[in-house]
Amino acid sequence: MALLGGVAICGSILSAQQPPFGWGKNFSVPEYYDPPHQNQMKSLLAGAEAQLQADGTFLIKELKLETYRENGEREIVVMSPECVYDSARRVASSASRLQIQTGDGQFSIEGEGFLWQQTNFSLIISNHVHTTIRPESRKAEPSKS
Amino acid sequence: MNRPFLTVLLASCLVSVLNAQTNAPAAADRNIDISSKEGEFDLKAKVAVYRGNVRVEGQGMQLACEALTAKLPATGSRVESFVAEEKVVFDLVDEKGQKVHGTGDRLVYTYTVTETTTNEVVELMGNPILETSQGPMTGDVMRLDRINNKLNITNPHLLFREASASNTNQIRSPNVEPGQQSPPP
Repeated sequence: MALLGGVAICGSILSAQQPPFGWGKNFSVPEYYDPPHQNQMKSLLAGAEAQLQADGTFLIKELKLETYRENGEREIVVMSPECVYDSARRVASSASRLQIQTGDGQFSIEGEGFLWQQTNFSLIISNHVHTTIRPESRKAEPSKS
Repeated sequence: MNRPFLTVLLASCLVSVLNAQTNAPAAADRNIDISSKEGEFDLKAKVAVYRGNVRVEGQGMQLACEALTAKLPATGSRVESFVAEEKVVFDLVDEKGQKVHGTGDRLVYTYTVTETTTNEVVELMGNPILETSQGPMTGDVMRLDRINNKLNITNPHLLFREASASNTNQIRSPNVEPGQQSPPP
């Protein structure tokens, strides 16, 4: 399990279960594929701070979410200075800035104010949307597991 | 105006469109940049919908519109297709710097590559106007084959600019030959 350091949130933010602790700093929460790829990381949610809200959602500072394919290649990286993450619905939203980049660096999206639905990889950005498609890309980085 | 004359005129306009304007292509044309007010992305299907003050630059194109739906590249680095709608204004520039300017209500761009062929087609419809050195042209549908530098216009018309009292260019649309069909591509 890859931990970026500091205090890890015990319990999976990515699951529907409520974590036993209300907040954490410098956390990272990995999620793995089902067998036979159980050793392959599916996603890694990391942040500088997470605070459990009254409604069961998390307020996350310095969010960084990475997803990986079954072959270990990094799929996308999502970054935002602040967002609210609903672990039950696997939905993140924020009025802050958002950056998304594919693992090969070929495609990136930026904007302000977003709704990210991880289940179906759906993203809505409400302001200042900017997409860049680069003709040359670097090879997708493998996961850390 | 008889059909042979119109055909010659269209051919002349096409040559003018494709050859007369030789603005140098932007050096940083390698990236494709799309900006807008709002956007919706299906990152699995790689489909993006942009709304509000949409701007596209790159891939030999500058385009402005109010709504754009794009099929983003699954592999490779080119946008495979997009549909631009509402107040479409575009400039196409090929590798030699030849420029085409046009406007319309709807523009459909498709880029396909097979083992044997590459197709890059721009279709303009909804009051389409294409600027040429002979003046603006219009028709029902304008189809520009960028690979083969061929233009096909369904029901082509010429538009005449008339200087008004305020000395501004206004477009009136007398049909040169209503019902005319451009030659097949």
